[in-house]
Amino acid sequence: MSGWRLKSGGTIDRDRRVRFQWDGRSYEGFAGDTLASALLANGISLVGRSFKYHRPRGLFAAGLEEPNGIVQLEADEATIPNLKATQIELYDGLIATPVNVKPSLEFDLMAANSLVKRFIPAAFYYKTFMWPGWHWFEPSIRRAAGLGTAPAEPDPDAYEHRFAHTDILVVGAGAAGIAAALAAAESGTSVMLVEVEPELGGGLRDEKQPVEGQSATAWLKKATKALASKSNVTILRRTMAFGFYDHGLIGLHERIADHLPPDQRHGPRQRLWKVRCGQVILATGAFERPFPFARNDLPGVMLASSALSYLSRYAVAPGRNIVIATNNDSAYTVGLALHDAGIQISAIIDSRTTVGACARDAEEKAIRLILGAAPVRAKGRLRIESVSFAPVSSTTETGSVGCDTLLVSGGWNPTVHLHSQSGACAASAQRPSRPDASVYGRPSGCRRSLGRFAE
Amino acid sequence: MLLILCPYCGPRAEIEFRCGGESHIERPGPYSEVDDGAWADYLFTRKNPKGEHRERWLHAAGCRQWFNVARDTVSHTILAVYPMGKTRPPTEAGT
Repeated sequence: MSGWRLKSGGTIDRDRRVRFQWDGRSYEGFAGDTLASALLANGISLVGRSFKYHRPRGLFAAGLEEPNGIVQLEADEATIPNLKATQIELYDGLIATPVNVKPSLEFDLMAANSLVKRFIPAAFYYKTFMWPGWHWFEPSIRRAAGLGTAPAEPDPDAYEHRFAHTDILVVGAGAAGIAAALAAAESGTSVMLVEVEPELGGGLRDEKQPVEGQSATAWLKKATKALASKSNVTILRRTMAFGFYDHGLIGLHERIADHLPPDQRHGPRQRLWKVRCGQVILATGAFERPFPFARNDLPGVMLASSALSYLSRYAVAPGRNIVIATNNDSAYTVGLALHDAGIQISAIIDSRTTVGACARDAEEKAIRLILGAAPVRAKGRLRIESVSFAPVSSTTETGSVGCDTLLVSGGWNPTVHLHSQSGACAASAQRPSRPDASVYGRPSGCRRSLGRFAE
Repeated sequence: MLLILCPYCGPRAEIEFRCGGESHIERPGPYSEVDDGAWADYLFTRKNPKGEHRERWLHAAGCRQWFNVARDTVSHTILAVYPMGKTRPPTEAGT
């Protein structure tokens, strides 16, 4: 059993069906889907193989942080290797294939490497295949490892390069970023708001907690409208801020036409921005941490927050029988949301022994709680079938619980990449190193970001 | 990429400039009295400080004027910009 589409919900456009090809077969999704959510909705859990041992890999996240769903997009001269399925917006006629699998994703001959993995440790081949000459063996070894295939023809697309100046640049359009942009726009200075996703909102797109006394969706709608109405605000969607350089220079990568079918693309496909900013506000949010345990790379293991994204954005459930492993409260929100959508939550494994109000909510819904335990091993061949857990404290016994999906939440890591690149120390996120940078929201160590920004 | 305040054109991106190395190096003389060590110093020995550094810059893709810059080599902050031929004005870091 694997992922499926719910009858209602999500922000997808159910009136517009979109056909696409994955691994040579034809599937259907909806406008507003990503390739990842459409694959999940079609019950596909195996999307790739690992680099060396060719172990089966499934979708693990829903956005930028996806490590497994790496695909080859399109074919011939327009092909692009190694894109994340979670960042590819679905368009009609999209063709995607898994990377580096032979002869097929389900039956990969190179997976035999996995059986002898004890004997082929890291750098084994560099030492073993030296006689009579490394170049005798190199081509076949290079073919066995590696990811996608580079295009052999010249790139048919056009790209653009643009310089810009702005007083304030806000990276990340979550609650903190939007609030920062709104506050900055009030003073009449020029503001640029940069968001990597096609929609503004970040975590607000998933969470249902009220913001400033109204529902997150209503607040987001109002704030987006307010931002769009201001002539001094530029909003860049599908744009990634990839570098924070000297004297307030930010590098941006804008994907202008990647979400359109190739025959509807006019003008440049992508744009490189070099923006000189008076002030940079980093509101880059946080990524959820995974849990370390044996075989935690099995398809069916997924970040809890990502499952919530799939549910609330695309109305896709990652499985039918879900177990959650957590060490913090945020995964309970996910569990309750999935439960309310009619998906079975078989157990919540929490490494803490005392849990607050969220555990009472879960117990009210008759969700089994296993406190003081942590997952130690996932079992299954091409998809997780059960997870065994062991006590962290002495109150619980060792056990195992069957599932087709395991959601993990090991806490949250602030997205400090740009912050660190600016020369600051990640441990002191509230104290930026440079006068032209400031940090809001999750990276500043604040969970309720709006409260802080109101200051 | 640095944002350099050209004294003649205003703030411009580093890509328009050429760095001419350390400033305020005086040619020793008269020639007949200078030993090899002092010549070698003059020609080759350069400071490489961690902190404030005085250097010459040319606005090559702009006004083509030379000028002096006091730059912090750690934070890349430009502490002062002043014309060629001027003696070094003190900056906050003060060297």
